[in-house]
Formats: sequence, C-alpha cells, structure tokens
Amino acid sequence: MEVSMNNSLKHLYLRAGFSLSPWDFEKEKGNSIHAAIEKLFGDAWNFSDLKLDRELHSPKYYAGGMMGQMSQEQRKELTKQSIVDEKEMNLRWIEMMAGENSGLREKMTLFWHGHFACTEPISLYALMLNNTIRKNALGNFGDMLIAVAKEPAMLRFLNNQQNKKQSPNENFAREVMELFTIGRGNYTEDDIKNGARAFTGWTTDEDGNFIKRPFQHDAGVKTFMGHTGNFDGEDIMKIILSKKGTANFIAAKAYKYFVNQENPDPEIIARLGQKFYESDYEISVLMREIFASDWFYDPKNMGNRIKSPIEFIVGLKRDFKIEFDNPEVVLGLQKILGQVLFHPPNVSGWAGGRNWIDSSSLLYRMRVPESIFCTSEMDVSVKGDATDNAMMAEAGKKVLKVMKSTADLDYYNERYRNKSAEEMVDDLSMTLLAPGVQNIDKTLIADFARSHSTDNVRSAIMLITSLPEYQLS
Amino acid sequence: MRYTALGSTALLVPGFLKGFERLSSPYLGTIENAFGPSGNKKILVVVQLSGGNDGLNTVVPYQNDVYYKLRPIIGKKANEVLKLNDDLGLNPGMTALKGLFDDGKLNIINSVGYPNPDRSHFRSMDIWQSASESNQFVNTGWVGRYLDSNCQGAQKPYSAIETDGSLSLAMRGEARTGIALESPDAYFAMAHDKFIKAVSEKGSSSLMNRTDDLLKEDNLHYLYKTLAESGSSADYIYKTSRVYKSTFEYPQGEFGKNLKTIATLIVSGLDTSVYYISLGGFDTHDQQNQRQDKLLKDFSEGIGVFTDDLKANNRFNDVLIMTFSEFGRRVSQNASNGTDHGTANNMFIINGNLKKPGVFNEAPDLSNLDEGDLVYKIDFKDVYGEILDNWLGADTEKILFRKNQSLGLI
Repeated sequence: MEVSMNNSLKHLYLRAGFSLSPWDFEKEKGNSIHAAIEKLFGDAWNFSDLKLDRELHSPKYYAGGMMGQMSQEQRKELTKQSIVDEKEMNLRWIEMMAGENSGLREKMTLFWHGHFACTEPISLYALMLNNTIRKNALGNFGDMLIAVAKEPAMLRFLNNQQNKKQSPNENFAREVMELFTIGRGNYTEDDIKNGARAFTGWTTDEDGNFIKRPFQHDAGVKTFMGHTGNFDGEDIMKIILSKKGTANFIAAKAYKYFVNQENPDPEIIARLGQKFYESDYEISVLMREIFASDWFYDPKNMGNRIKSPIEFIVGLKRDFKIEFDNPEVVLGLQKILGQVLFHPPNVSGWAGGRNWIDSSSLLYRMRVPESIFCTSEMDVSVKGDATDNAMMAEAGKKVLKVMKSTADLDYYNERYRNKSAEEMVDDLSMTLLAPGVQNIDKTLIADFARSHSTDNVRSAIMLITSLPEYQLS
Repeated sequence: MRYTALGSTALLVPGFLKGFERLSSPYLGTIENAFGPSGNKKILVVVQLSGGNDGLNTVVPYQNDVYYKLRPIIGKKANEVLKLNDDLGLNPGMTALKGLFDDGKLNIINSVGYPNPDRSHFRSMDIWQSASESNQFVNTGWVGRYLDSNCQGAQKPYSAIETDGSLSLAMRGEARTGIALESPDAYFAMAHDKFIKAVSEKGSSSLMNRTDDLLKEDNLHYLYKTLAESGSSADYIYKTSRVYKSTFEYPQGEFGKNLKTIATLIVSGLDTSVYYISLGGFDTHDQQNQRQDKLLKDFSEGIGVFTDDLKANNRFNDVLIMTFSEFGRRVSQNASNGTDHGTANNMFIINGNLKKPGVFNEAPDLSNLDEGDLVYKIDFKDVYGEILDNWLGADTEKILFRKNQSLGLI
C-alpha cells in the first residue's frame, strides 16, 4: 500500500479543485508538480455549459409571447417554475464540480460566482450568468467583466433597468468599482456619478438579450477617473481596467481565496498584481503563477484553509461517489452549512474563512458523514426563505427528515482488502486530511472503526471524514 | 457494492436519532457551576418578523383618510382595531399585545428605518442584521460584535443563543459567534457523540498547550477550540434547561415552541444575555389580510404567554423584547389585495419595567411619502444603540461605529 502521500499534489488538487481522490493520486504520483498543473489546465479547456434536460424559458414565454406586462398568474407561473429549475441547476452544478476532470474549471467558476455575486429569481437569467462566468473563468478578466455587465441577471440585480438619463441609478456603477474591479478608496463619488451616466440605457429585452436604449442613454460628456469624453459603459470599464489598482484588487482576492486568507503576504500579492496587469488580465497566467510558485507550497500555506460548505459537499461526493437522490437534500445540506449556490448573502459574496464555522455548523459538518455513510438519515430543519409561502414559513422551517443518499465504496473495499483498521486509517488520513495527522490518535480511530461495525472500511471512512482535520484544505 | 439507506449497520445508528442512551458525559462533571438564578442580569430577546411585516396594518392609523384612500379594501376598519390612542390602534388579532400596552409594558416606535432604503428582502435583512449603512457590506452582525466586545454578559460561548438550526448574520462576530440550537435536547444530542467527544478531548490536549506565534492563524486550533466550546456549551445548556419546566401553554407551532425554549432557559438561570427568534411568512403580496392577521395573532399570543411565564417567575423586569422586520410595506394596496415591499416600519419594545411606555413618537406621516413609501424618522441603529448602552451596558460606539443618540427610550 502506498503510504507516502505527496503533500504537494494533495495541496494542489484541494486548492485548484475539490479533492485528491486516491485514484487521482495513483495516476499522478510519478509526475512532477508542474506536470500535474499542466494536466489540470489541459483538462480545464474541455468543459461544457451547465444545462438542464429541458429548455428554460424567458419571461416573454410566460407572457404568452406578448411583450409588456405579465399577468399575476403568469408571473406566479414563472416564479414557480424558476424555483424548480434552480434546484435542479444547483444539483447539476454540484455534479459538474465533482466530475473526474472538471476540478479547476469548476473551482474557478465557483470563485467568480462569489466574486460576481448575484441573486436572480428568473432561472434562465441565473443560468445564463453562470455559463458566461464558466466560459470566461480562465480567460481574460476584462472580457469576463464586460460580458457579466451585459447579463440580464446582473443588470437587474444592480438596478440598471432604473438607470436612465433623466433619473440615474448609481448602484450598478458603484458595485462594479467597489466589488468587481478596483475596490474602495480608488475612485471618487464623482466617478460613480459619471460612471452611472455612462451605463444609462443599458438593459435587456424580454428574452434577456443585452440592448442599449438610445433614448435612455446619457450621451453627454463625462469626466471619469481623470479622463474626459463621451463615454459609454464599455469605455468606463476599459478605463477601470487600465488602472493597476484593478489588477492588484483581483490578484489579492485570488490570493486570499486560493492561498491564505488569514495571513496574506502583501509583497507576494503586489508581485502577483504586477504580473496580472502585464498579462493584460489573463486569468490563466495569474493562476499558473500561483500554483507553480514555491510559496504556494510553503507549509504555512498548506492545510490551513477552511473548506467552504460547497467544497466540503463536493469533496465528499467526488471521493465516495455519493448520489443525492433528490435536489432537496443537496439544498438542505447547503442551507444548514451556510452556503447555497446561486444565493450569495449579498453582492459582496461569501466572506469565507472562519465565517463558515460556528458551534452549530461545525457540529453539523462533523455529523454529515455519519448520515451519508451509515444511516442515510439526518434530522435537519432549515430556515424558510423570506419568499416561502406563508404556510411554509409559518412553521418557520422546512424539515428534511430523511436525507437520502448513497455512497459507492467499491474502490475502497478493493484497496483495503485484508488491511487492518490501522492501515486503513493511515492511508485514508494521508489522502483525505490536508493538515496531516500529527494531532490524530490513529489507534483511537481504529478502535472506533472496529467497534462501530463489521464494515470497517465504511466506518473508517465515516470517522476520518468526521474529523476537524477534514474541514481544512 | 452499493450501499443504501438503513442497511445492515444497525450498530451505527447515531445519537441523533436514538435519543440519549449515553447520558453520562465527560463534560457534565466538570462544567462550571457558576450559574444560578442571576437576578439582576439583563436579557435581550430579539424577535425577527421575516418577509417584511406590513406595519400599517399592525399599528393602524385608523383616523387617517389617506390610509383608507390608499387601502380601500385591505384597510383595517376603525371599529375593529384595538385602540391605543386617538390616532392608532392595533390589528384586531393582537389582544395580548393590547393587554401589555394597557399595563404599560409596551413601547411602539413608529417610522423606524434607514437612509437610502433597499427593498430586497435579502439585502435589507442584511442591513438590519449587520447594522450597516445601506451602501456598506459588513460580514458581522450587531449581536456578534456585542460578543466580540467582550463586555460583562458577553463573555461566554453561550452568551447569545438563536433558536434555529442555523445561525443568522446578526449573531456572527469577528472572533465570536452565538449558538444556534433548535432545542437544548437536539443540540446536546448533536454534540454528544462518543467519537466526537473523544476526538475533541484528544485534539484539545495536543493543541491547546501550544503558544507559538502562528496560533492565531492556525485554523485547526480554531476548529478544536470551537468544538470544545460547543461540547461544554451543549452540556451546560442541556443540564441547566432541566432546572425549570414551564407549565404555560404556548401556541402550537415553531414560534411558540421556540418561545417556550427561551422562557425555560431564562427562568432556569442560563447565563445568556441575548436570545434571537424568528417568525416568517410576512411577505404578503396577495390576499394580505387573512394571512397577516393570522401571523400577528400567533405572534401576539406567543408573546402574551411568554411574558406571563416570565411574570410568574419574576423575570419580566429583566427581559427586554425587541421586534423588527426587514422593511415595512407600500402604503397603497396592490391589485391583488396585498402590498409590495416598502421602507420604514414600527418596532415594539416590551419589558416589565419600561421608562416611558406607550406610543413613543408620532404616527407615520402618510401625506408626505417618498414615491409611495413612508419616510423614516428614527434610524434603527439608534434603537440598537439605546439597547446596547442602556440595557446591556455595552460600548455602543465600538459595536455600531456611531454614538448612541439616546432616544430616551430605556
């Protein structure tokens, strides 16, 4: 049995994707870390859109193909169908993330999903934004920014339909600068006013196609970040991209997400920002620079990142081929653990790090493997949405009595044939536990594995994935 | 082999479902017994009405022509409302609250809101819970920052408890968070797993003695610390909750059940300063009245029993209840006999010993609307400030990043 796990490989796979399964390790163990990075990038160019088996429809469809106002009934139908669609989109995306070779592409999509944070009640628009982000996730940041700014979901979320020449709405321009590009302190209130004017008239038709309404657009001269001209929204974004501050802001965000949130190194971030700027915002350059750097594999940057709930769920699913029978189960898990896809807490996205952990969510995380591997049942009740109907919300909660799921452990049963509990615990902790095993009493776990059931493989997996160590990547 | 639910591993059925066979806990012997009926300790109970409660049909301006003009169908009739004064009356279902008002145990604050109001449920709830300005994004909540402040009453891992499966933003601080629990028993069952306990003890003993420089950034240490605190809190809360068993009959449903849990913990003498409870379903875009009336009745009856319970145990003077909702609703009814998302709203403050009970400020001005919405007169952060300063004895400025304007409320 292989016991000397390559920590660098584990680190790379956990950060650039969602897990290093033992079969990944068997495939990659002879290669250099640079070859492993190239493989991840190679796999990432091969990706497909998130889609459902059926077509999603625009509001126009629900309005019977008519332009103009929808009736109350039509609106209800759209809302109802969108909720159904979105649950399936959620489950599908989880499946894509857990795919064999899709780790890097989907990890990047998840990262930008939190960066271009948006809540969109119309499922078609939410799906469009998600696919635009996926397509650009390792491409050019400037292209992605401009594409996202033309998405119906983002224009609606940031109130740009209300941004008209006669009555500008500054929300869109403000968030583009504060959260999507350059960050606070690098623009003035005047820049926001003039930026907002440039975005006036940016909206979409009822099929979600981007359009500029000339009569609502303020075509006058604007002064923005020291430039003066008859600017449109695209000009504004190009000016923002011409500022080094934007490259620094994005590089810092990527560093904190992929490397170290608790103890960032400002010098490294500055160098990353410079490199990103010189590459003209090529995201693949930035990410290669991170994954291939020596400092990425510095012990202080390894095994000390708290997995997000999505990473936790996807990692389990990928390593143990878990099937969730029902979208409600995946959604319920996300709710109790505090991260629901397509529902960032606000436009600034998920705060991450220790924000994921409180005394309740930690206990839930540590009990989830038991319900998945052993009983397949877990009593969870989750907060109702603000928009749940009154009957549902009156109870205050939705209770998921049974979280049905199945795990396929064939690979592990084979791998651990005739192995002792100690050997299993040893091997599993090497592959699954990012911070290593120095704090773990392996004998204790092996004893528990033996006493829990005759299925030692299953018990050992359940126990190892229940550890605090398993919460880190 | 494919493994399906409830197969052959009967031995593995967890504590979750099996109840409390293994009640003897390693923690129980060692918990601090520093608690006990802490007579003077001030307690805050935050009641969140989720979905945007329509304030104008809660506290009805029954003499106002504009009100009836803009709400010809859903307006509450003057002869139905429970009259508070010459202008305002409570929704007819709220008899228990009317009783509290008549006894001088209720404050109604009108027109509470914030500048540049946001009409999204999620965003506005964020603003209320984080106590931020509407153009700020803050990842901590106001109760969480109270915990961070580490002032007297905020120092325990269980200083703030939310009766729910997951924790609201309001309860999250930078360094400290509250506890979310559905009931003391359920929380105890979750924390009380042999394996988790054993791991917690082993891990703690090897990690807790560390004093190196990187400790603050070490997330594994943070996880073990959180785990150890959860375990001891779960034991302490469970054990303490056995001190008092309420015989009061609370309304059916989750809200009543959670109020009963809170009363039990308060009367039992749990050393907790803030409780957080939610009642949802107020997003009444259509056929508002039948729904909202029922919700307000549930709310009022629940609070009525809760305060009776506290009174009977001499704790009503120590407990201050504050209600809020993420926004009020449009003044005009919509085409479906409902109301859409609005802005300013009223808040209730309830306590056994109020300084100035009654209607705190003038009724909302319906003749001076901002695009059909009420204009706020009191910033909700000033209400929080008042409570933090004058009730919880905390340093408001540190928690809210602004000085307490002193409304003279408490």
